[in-house]
Amino acid sequence: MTPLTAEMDPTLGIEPKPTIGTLLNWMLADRARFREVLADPDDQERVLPRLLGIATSSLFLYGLVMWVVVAATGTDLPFMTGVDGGRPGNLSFAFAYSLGIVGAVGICLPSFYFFALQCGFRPTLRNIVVAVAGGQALTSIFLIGILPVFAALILGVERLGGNSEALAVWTKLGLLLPLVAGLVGAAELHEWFTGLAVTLPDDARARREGVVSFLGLWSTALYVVVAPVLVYQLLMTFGRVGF
Amino acid sequence: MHPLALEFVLLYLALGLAIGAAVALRDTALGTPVSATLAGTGAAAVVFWPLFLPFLLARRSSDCDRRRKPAAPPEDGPLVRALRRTQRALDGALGGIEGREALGLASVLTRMPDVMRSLEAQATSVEGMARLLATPTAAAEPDALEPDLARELDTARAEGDRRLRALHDRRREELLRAIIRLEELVAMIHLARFARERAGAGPLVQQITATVEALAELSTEDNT
Repeated sequence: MTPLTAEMDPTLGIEPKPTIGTLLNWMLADRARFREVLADPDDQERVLPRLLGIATSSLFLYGLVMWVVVAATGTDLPFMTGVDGGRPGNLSFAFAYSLGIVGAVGICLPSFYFFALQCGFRPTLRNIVVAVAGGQALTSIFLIGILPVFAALILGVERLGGNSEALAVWTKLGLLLPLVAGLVGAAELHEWFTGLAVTLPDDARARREGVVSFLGLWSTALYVVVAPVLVYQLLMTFGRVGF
Repeated sequence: MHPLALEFVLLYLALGLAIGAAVALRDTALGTPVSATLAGTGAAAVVFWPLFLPFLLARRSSDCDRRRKPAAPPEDGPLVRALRRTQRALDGALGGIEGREALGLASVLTRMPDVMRSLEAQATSVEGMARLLATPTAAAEPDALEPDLARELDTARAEGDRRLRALHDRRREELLRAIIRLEELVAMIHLARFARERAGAGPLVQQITATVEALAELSTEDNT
């Protein structure tokens, strides 16, 4: 039986509900449409699990790749294992990154709400959650996008005769890749936050222009600090538990 | 792992299980089929429950709409319907005039919208009174009150009803008079429209002016 969504006439203006595939497509090719879906209250509840699915699965995949790289290069990570020369478990990175980066939102959520209120906006926690989850999904997709570049770099260092110390340094830098990729999500979050100023009356917007910009930056910076700290803590915990 | 951390994790997961179950139950109740999507949403809610909590606690827009939907207004009665019918006739008559200024009626006819609004409010009020008068009073339970007190209560009720009925009758009569004047006004406007070219509209304009004045008085005297 043909799915109903395939039979819909596009001229009727009825669009099928966004699936993970369409969300990925919009993230990469139509950012305006992506933001539109995030802002639609009717779609938010449906979109949230998909965004979280995209973010966690991508970060999980990144964690698995990093475990392979760490194991292949023989990089020593004593902060995880607690002993020199120990090897972290094969799922430690995957769980630490996927839970840490997404879980940091839960910690920052009240602050985001507070900052938005200070700016004079009337946000809802749902809007904030979906906007941040959207930023994370973008981050994770960008992370997967730059992962092959990192793998090629490691292979290049190895092929060009780099010693184990050089490989270890590059591998450890690879553990910071989510921070680099996170700039995309952070920029998206900052844009969303300052974009809320559009909902203010003109005179109020003019009065609060400086505050909005500052608190937007502050909200972004808060997440950029909290997420790595949480990931580091989880890497230590999972590394020592032996996942 | 530190015992406190373990306790925290257990507490977090216990809350997560409860919220995950709540999310899954709600989605099922809303018609989401039991599928991998539902399972995935439930699992995500267990682990990331702080993100799902705002959605779980928020009132659904459909619920809000249902709760905000006002009670259906009472159906319009014969007075309001008659008034609206006359208003349509008046609008039709005024629409046939090529420029009210030509008839010298502009200053008078601009008062009509206010007059009509006021009359419609009066008609609604009169019909409300009629509905109230038609509502049977609840019978008092026997032996609930002392006989003297019950008799006084009945007397007071009867007096209230009598005064309300008198007010209703008076206002209804005034309103009917206003509707008749309105019908006369419509006829006069038609006449003025055709008499205009024969320069015979002068007396009619005076009559129209007087009628509108009378209507304005009728529509306001009850408010005083």
